[in-house]
Amino acid sequence: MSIAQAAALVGPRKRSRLSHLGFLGWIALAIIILFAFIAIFGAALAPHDPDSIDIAYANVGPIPGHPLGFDELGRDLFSRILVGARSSFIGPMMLVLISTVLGTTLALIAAWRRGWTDAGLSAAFDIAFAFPGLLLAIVLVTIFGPSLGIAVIALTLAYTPGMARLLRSTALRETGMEYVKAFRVMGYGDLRIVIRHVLPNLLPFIIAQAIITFGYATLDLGGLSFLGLGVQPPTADWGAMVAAGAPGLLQGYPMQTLAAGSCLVLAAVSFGVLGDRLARMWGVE
Amino acid sequence: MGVGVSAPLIVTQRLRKVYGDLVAVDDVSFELPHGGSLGIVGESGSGKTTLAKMLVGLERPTSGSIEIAGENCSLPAKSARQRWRRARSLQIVFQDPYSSLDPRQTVGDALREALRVSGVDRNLLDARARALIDLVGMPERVLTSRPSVLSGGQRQRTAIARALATEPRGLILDESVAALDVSIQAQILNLLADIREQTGVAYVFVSHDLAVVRHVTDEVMVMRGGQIVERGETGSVLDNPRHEYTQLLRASVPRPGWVPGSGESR
Amino acid sequence: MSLLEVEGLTLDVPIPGGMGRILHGVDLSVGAGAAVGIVGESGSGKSLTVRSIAGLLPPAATQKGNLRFFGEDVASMSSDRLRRYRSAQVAMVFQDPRAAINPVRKVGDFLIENVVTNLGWSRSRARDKAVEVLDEVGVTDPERRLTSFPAQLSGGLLQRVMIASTLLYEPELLLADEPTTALDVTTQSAVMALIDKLRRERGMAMVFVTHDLELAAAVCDTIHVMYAGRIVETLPADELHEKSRHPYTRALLDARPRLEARETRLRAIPGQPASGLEDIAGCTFAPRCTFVLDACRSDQPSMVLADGHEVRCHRAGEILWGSA
Repeated sequence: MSIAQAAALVGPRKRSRLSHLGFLGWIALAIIILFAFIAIFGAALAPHDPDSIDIAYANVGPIPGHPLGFDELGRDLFSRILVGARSSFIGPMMLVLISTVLGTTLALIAAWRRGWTDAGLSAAFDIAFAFPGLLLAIVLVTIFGPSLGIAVIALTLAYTPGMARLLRSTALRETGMEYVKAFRVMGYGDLRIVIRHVLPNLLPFIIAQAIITFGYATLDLGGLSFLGLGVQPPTADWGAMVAAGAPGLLQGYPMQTLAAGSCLVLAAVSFGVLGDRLARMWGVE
Repeated sequence: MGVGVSAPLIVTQRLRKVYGDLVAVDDVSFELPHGGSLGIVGESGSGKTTLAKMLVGLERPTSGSIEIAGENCSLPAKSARQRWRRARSLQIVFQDPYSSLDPRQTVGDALREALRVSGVDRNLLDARARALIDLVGMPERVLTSRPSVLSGGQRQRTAIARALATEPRGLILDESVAALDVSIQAQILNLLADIREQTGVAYVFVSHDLAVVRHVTDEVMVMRGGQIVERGETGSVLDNPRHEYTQLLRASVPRPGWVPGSGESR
Repeated sequence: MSLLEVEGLTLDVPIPGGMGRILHGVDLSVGAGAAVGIVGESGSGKSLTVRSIAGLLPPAATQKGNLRFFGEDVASMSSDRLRRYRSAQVAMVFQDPRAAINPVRKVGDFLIENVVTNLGWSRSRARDKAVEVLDEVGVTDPERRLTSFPAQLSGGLLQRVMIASTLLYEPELLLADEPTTALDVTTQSAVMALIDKLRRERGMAMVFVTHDLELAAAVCDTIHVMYAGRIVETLPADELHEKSRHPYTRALLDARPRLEARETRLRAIPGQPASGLEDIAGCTFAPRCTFVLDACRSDQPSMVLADGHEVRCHRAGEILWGSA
């Protein structure tokens, strides 16, 4: 080939590992840390009692001492936003944790055993993945009644196959590595190879995926609460607040929906960005 | 099952491996005596690597039999227990020193784990790991290093040390020096000769490099298209090749006075 | 005046903590129609040298020294002139054709890309010529091959295609970076014979990079042996066995097992090949050299004349070598 052709092949300069995080990545990380902080200490930070009702102040806009104004029952919005962070954090966290652990386990089983086991599991993943989580949530709520716990269980059942599918291809690649073959020839047990060798090498990818999923979990759980299928009143929850503020929107009082919705979106996007940047930084895609 | 001293370490009969339409290994029978050294020479597509994988149970033969140290190993081990038993008979060192080691394990951890799994008592792990490192000619400080900071030659020595942890009677070297620099290759070849002398381990040396095979092996089999086209004592096969493919191989090796393209078809 | 003159080529690359020097003042020249071999192990800088000549270095690397093509300084070429240099006068063949040829485009597209895009040929002219050169390199059924994809060709065949791509026009210089290292030895023999034949027919010069001393000796006129980013010996290829003088060159020749007879023990060079980044006072080969003296450890040797050629060794004239 001519050198001119070859020049097209010379890749871009390699950037330092940390720089992959980028400006946006750092911002996302900062937002998430803030989010976690508020989720833990929200109740203590709230300037007013988030549950104290005062109809006289229903839907009143921001005034000194109440930077976000009030919701439809006259409760201080700012305090409710702060306290609402908790359920908007704990719920997704449980969801992500359980679905990741289950998904990883299933993916590893499929990737290790290969053959029929893999074919069967993959088919199961695909079928389950196609089933909408929302529908499942509605079914479960109908049977067991609405609550954060039921919402989390429903979405866990919906998320796990998706996680397993995603992790399976990376797991397949890792279990195909030559060092795995070497260990098998050396007589190492299956469990030892998978848990002590394959899993640790997969961890960066799994963690990056989990963080990205957190973003989706935030939105999905928020959505279920919005529909009244998750967190129940009077507990403050961003998703529920988006719903509660909806009538107010039409009447010209947008603050509750706006504030709660923005928080949800901001949290979700931050997780997505951080997960993506971490994946790049660790060299997994 | 004859387990006398005279029984060979490896006996294969009519070994065959077929992938769909492709016959990768076709009717291969051979024996490796205890402490012997057999070369398997061939180019890509010859089936030599598939053969090596079948011997260690990484591939299942389509037909034919394999007997290692008296045990019938014609099918890959069914249980981890069985794999463990066979690990004491035959081990393998791969070509690529980079991917055959777990990148997250230090050399010491890798060796100690190998020793532990092969049944060595916990208190003796350190001493045995040090002995292995010494056997492959590396300093003790390598034990705390990860593969990423080691050179190709050092990684390969680590792979050899690890393979020897189970004290196998035979070692398959699948192009184990092909990826190394010439000066390092010489070191590893000397090392392999030393190890064989010290431990009496037998070698199956799979390679495309005739000169290397000459140096390391007593007997050689030349493979092409899955079949053995010539075999015999290494010196005589390489000095007086009878099959035209062996002649072609020999004529293709660069050496003083060599002209490219001599003695060949395309 | 030579076709190509490399003078004082120095290359600095980013390393943790700043920049590191990886090539230290490489000098070589290539006459028109001549074949020059650069031989070395890992870290020798042989690949980087030829990439510097091609101008294919990553942007972070800084290059110093002079590169003259037919007496013209490449660094100060106008962009038009440079374009002609890179698309019509110098061609390159890499070790792994699969990495260099786009797998999703047809072989024919790859072949005609340069002449159509950079040299302004018409597609039909390019296509006809492509069929011609495929035939020349021994590819059967060339018309059909044009419509094949790289994955459908074997490594050897693809390398022939890569070579064919350099023949559509008439480059004066071929840069070959380990072109046969990934090929079977019989294929290597055939491909080298082909390159040799084409070179002679077209009077094309070649810079041939390899780790295989014997191969270089067989196909080149001159050999440069590189170690740790420097050329340590330059000599005519046919004098390699009889007259080489640098301890590293001799050690490299000795380290290979011989096809003719089995030796009891190979004369291995202790230690690891060094890279140019190593910051050693004195000769970089000193730690591994059997003939090392104190002077070797403190003074960097320069090229001296010994037995009619250049050797970078303090003891070049003194050491008596037996025959190879």
